[in-house]
Amino acid sequence: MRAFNFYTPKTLAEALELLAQYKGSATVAAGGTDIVIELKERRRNTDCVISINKIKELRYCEVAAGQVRIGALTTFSDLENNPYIKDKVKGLHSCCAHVGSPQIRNLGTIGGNVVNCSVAGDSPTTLMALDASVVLRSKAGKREMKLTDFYADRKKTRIAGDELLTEIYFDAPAKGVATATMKLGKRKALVIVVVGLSILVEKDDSDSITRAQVVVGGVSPKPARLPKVEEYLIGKPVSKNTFAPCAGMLSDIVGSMIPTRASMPYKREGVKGVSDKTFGRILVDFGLGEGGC
Amino acid sequence: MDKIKINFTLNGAPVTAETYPNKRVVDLLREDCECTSVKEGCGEGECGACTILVNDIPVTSCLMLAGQIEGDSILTLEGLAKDGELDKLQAAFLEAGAVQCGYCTPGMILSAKALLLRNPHPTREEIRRALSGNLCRCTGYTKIFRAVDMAAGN
Repeated sequence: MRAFNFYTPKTLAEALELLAQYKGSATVAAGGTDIVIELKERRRNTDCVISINKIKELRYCEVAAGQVRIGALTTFSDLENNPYIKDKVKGLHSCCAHVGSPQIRNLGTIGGNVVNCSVAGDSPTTLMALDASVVLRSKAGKREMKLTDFYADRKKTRIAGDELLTEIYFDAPAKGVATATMKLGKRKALVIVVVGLSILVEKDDSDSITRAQVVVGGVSPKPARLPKVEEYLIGKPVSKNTFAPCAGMLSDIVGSMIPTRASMPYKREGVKGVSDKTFGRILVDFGLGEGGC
Repeated sequence: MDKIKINFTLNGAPVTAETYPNKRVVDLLREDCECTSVKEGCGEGECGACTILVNDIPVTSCLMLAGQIEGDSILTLEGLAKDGELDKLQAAFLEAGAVQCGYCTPGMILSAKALLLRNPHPTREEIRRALSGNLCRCTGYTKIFRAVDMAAGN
């Protein structure tokens, strides 16, 4: 690891002051699970590391005024053990519970995962399906944007050098909303995403689908919303028969997204099973099935 | 690069370490604190050999910078035995023969310790999940799970 100066701000204000001082040349470490490896392997070189893991005010998960607000330093373990997330936002719960390993979930933060925007990251896909927004703060002020706008390209976000991502928020799932996420990896623990799928479905009282947000991860530089699948679902009844054709649609889409990638044949097949299981969980969440379609 | 001063509790005793900020916690513990039970395996958080408990929570110390543990309470395997008596997990690992090459053992025991601290009588599935971040390349998992069962009095 190259030499760098190290700061441990205790408050958000101190952190923003340091970021302003270094004018974008500082590296921010939240949990550190990605950054420490990058520093060690010299894939990232920096004059200054600002470790924000002691800023207590950025570690929270609260539900108020119809929104779920999650502080950037909330760990995956915090979210995995949060009764509200477990009960009401099953898609996010399942995502958090399958990140890395217990040790990594204890360190890794949702804010760090979002800013690091790995192609094979866990939470961006799920948060995009929840149509989440991010709050960015700097000494100069605050801005907010949708996560879909936050990601510019592969490993590139629209965060400015003096900004800190402080919060992620999304609409609290209302009655009639179900969410589900599934990650296909090489085994259960300690794996990156091969194909990830996250879905939000809203239905009306007659079980007809009024909103669908379908996001696939691991097959493009940033997670991708799939309008074709979403449009197909709108207006149809929530049922096994409605969801079953999504597997084929997803398979075609994945094939066309990464036509030249060596892993394409595997991912194209794999996503079919992922589709069946994820939509199966939506049925279970609605109390309409036992899983699988 | 200036040295930084880090205050933390190591195995129950207060410690002040002066070190360079580009040192990881695994290196700080091994090189500056003589805690060589903390093993470096993969160096990227995959194997769990470097697991330590920070405020009773298991984390991989190869993914942490030394300065991140300021004010924290650290437990390594060296801090488990009390007054010459092995911790019940250590005794159970011996009894069950849950050690082959031994490299993963400190991390396994500490992940199991964290589990038993919050859940004294875990099910086999809970044990498997709690140890899912610790790899044993000798693949001696059956005896490791049995040892944790024994320590939990299951």
